[in-house]
Amino acid sequence: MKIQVGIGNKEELDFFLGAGADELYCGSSAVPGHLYGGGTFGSFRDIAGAVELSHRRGKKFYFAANEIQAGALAGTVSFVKELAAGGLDGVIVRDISLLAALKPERLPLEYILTSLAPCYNAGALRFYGELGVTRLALPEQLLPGEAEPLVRNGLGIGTEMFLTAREYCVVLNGLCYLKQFNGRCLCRAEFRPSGRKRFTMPGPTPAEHFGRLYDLHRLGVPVLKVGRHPTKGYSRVVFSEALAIARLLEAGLPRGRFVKLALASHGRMDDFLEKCAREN
Amino acid sequence: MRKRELEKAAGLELPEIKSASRRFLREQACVYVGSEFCQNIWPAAADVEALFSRGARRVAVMTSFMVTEGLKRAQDSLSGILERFGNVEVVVNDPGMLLYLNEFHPEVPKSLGRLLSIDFMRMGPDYRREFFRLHRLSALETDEAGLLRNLPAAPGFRVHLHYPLKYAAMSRACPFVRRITLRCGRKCLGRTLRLPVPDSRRELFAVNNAYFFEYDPGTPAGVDRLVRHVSGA
Repeated sequence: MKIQVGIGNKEELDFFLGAGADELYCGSSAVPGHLYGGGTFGSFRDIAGAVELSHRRGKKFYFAANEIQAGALAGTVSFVKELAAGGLDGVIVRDISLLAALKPERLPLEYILTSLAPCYNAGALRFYGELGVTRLALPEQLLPGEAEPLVRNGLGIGTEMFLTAREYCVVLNGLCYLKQFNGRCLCRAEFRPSGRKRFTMPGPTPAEHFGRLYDLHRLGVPVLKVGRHPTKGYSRVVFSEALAIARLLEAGLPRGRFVKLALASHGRMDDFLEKCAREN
Repeated sequence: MRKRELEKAAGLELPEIKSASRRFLREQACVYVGSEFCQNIWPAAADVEALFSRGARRVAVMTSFMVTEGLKRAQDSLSGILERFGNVEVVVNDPGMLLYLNEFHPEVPKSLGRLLSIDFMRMGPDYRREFFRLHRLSALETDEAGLLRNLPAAPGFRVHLHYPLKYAAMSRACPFVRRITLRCGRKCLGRTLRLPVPDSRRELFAVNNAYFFEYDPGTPAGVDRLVRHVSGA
């Protein structure tokens, strides 16, 4: 199983290349992208340098342009073309108009459809495949049985998945406008409706997350993804967990045993993260 | 410039179909049924027949994102409706459903639903126009009154504004059955959870598997149809 990690700066690039990441990606402040506070590389030169350094280490490097481009469309296309000329391996995309603009350029790139896109069925994957998509980041809220037609799609489109036990939105990420109420993410809030018991938005348990991960791995999803994160060091911890989980997945354990060991690893990481938060 | 004639339409939850008066149904330019957010909620042919037999002039079947099994189920049901009834339009939020309708029911009027239209209202106008032309979309459904200014005066498609609820978020894990399932028994129908937002005077409304807040659309320009949802969204 390969591990893909999002990075925000040169320090993270050096760290994750040394730590064993197989694929890396970044965004740029020059191009609209979807992230919750993680850093972006500032300049074209920084990204081109990251591509070169990654290739010297035998790793792939992608660029995230995974938001609606609107007025930035032409600039984004030019930016991606330049990066492609410099050896970029792929681009992570959400905007259909960006896919349509890039397709005739015939760039030698992997076109990765972001998990934010509404690609939940084989017909939708065909739609995006016709726009040039070559890999799908599975939507977080897709059960393994539902994902099977997308993973075994017969279209030559690859797949990747997030370590959802650590990075998961209770609502559909990319279609969430809950922050407009009080500037905070409401999906984890506890609501107190009048005359009713407390309400929280439902989501899977860690055990359910790991069970799904196991099943998706068995279906053949080859890439485990770690996203960018605003807190320094957080993505390093998640990456460590991803490495541990990948080793467990590749050990060929029975499902129940895998989930038990994964939960234990997850719990240790929770303790570590809590300790870091206290110390900071 | 030709003044746009504003149509009045209504959205009904499935249980409301039988209780809606004939007069009410006749007054609407179009009646919306189904759900743009939950793939488990769609009208049966009998529901559509009930609407037409009791005076509805036009019916819009709302459809959502769907997993493969859900899409197959919706296609089978929709085919039955489209083959039996004229004056039916389909609100599309799923790219797979869009391809299906283009291939098997190319003549059916289609609109881009609220989950997809958010992105298209933020997109540049050239590709948006081309996309609508290519996929034979005649209208855009939205509850984003604030984004209407992004559209030109003559965008090349109709604009339908939904109210009084404005979409805020959705989850495949339904707030009423608290899990992801294609067989939920539609326990949400006729129910709305009102959730006071912490540190705010506002409320979030949980309808089906989505969350909304209430808003007043006012009298916006650039709208061809106002869709008032009686109790759902």
